[in-house]
Amino acid sequence: MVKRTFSALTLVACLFTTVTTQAETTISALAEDLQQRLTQSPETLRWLKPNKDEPLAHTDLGIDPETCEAPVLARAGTHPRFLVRCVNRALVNFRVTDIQTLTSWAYSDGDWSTGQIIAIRGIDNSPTSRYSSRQVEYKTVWHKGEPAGPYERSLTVLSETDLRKLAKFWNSFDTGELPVLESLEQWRQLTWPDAVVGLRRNGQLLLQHGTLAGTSDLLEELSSKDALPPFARGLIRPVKKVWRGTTPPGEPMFLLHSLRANGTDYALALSDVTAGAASQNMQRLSAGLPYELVFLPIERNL
Amino acid sequence: MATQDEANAILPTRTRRQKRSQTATLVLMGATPFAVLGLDPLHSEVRVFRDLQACQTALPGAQDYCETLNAEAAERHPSIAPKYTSRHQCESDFAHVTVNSSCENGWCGIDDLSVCERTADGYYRPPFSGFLVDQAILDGTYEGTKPAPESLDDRQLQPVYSISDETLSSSGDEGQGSTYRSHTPFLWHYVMANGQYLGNQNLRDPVTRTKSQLAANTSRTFTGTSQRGGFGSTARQSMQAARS
Repeated sequence: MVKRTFSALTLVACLFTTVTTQAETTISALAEDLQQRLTQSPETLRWLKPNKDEPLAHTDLGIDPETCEAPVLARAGTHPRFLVRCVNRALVNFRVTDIQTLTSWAYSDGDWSTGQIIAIRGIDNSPTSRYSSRQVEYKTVWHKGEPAGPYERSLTVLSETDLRKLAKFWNSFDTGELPVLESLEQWRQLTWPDAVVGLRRNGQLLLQHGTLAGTSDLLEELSSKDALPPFARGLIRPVKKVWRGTTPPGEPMFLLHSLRANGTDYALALSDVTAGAASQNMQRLSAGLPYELVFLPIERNL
Repeated sequence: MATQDEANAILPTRTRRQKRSQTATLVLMGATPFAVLGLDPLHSEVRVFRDLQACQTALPGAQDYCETLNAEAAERHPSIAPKYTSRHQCESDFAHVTVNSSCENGWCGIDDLSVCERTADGYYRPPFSGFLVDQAILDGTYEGTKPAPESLDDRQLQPVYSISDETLSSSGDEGQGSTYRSHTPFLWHYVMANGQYLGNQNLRDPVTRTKSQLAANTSRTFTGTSQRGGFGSTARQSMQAARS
């Protein structure tokens, strides 16, 4: 009986492997594969502590993979990479502490390489009395070196709900489907008002200081047929806060997703390679694709 | 010492000067009793209402009258509003966020914006953003006097427009650099169709303007894309005059 059950499981596993191989280019399939490895066979994976080079098992680190959130894409295209955030409770100096780890998992040659822990964040949630507790945060330990950009930093402080929304977004994003970048050119041809940082599909605007002259032209263009490709939620322009005066935002890009972490707004956007590489405050989240996925802070001048 | 001939030559001039100063004195004396009585024939006090609701709040006993005032001002709007051949230029002067900073922390809806509207003859104009009423007319409503709105002239009732703070802050005209630094689309000001400045978006108190300033004129058309000498320039100058 036991033998028969084992055989059935093996068959299912083999079938799943076949499916995974066929769809391995999709983000959702890779994310699912990683999550299954973490939950079903974590002993086959190894972790590196920040700034250390000794591969360790999850048991050595006190990580229970069951507590991990769904993997979130960090780099699309060749050598895809995912981030996984886990929270485990531990006793530190006789105090109940939540230990949050953010691990980067790269996929190459059909397998997952050793996970690099990018950040370890400790939050002391011990009760101070029967009725109250105070939250004390320890200094986050960061891995020095790649990968640790604004995307990784924002993911350490993103709420659970927003992290799940982000994972859901990536799972629905198909990198295999070539986005229509020609329509981005028609948006660039328009004179964008300095005050308009973003434009959503439903006509909502993200504003900063400056003139609104030309807004109606943008809204008119938005109402035209096929103004935005289906994958775009709108358009976003990179902008950096300056302390004196204002800076006009840059070229528009397709807005894919937005999030807020630590009081700052961020956007995930898609553009062509030239535009993405031009701005310094953008983090590239793709490699080897005919377009560029970027993560950028939206620092409006208000 | 002047000779007799020189004295004769000077005398007519002096007489002319005397006559001119006497005339001026008489004019001033003519106006003095009005001023003493609290009547100023040169100025009028007007009240600006953002919308019908603002009028009805100010005049709880004249709800219906507010409706007719608002309707009449709206009817005058197409013939009085400044017109532009370029939508971009019109928006450059007028486009702003109407709600008070409610979308400053996030995304603004289309309904939160005030942008220019297209006229039937292919021009662009700012939208109707409220109306001004002569304070004397409003005072009369407390005594039951409610003159028909269509009988009121433009100095007593006319539409008003909201101009962007950016326009008033610009220093591109006549080299008059302004000390304004808040170029924000969330701030705006009331102006008349002739460009006369009335006050900022929080204006509640009556405003005093000369009768000539309150004359609405017919709709002016602004062509091209240049800001110099345009509506914004007039509004800027009148704002500076009103504040000085």
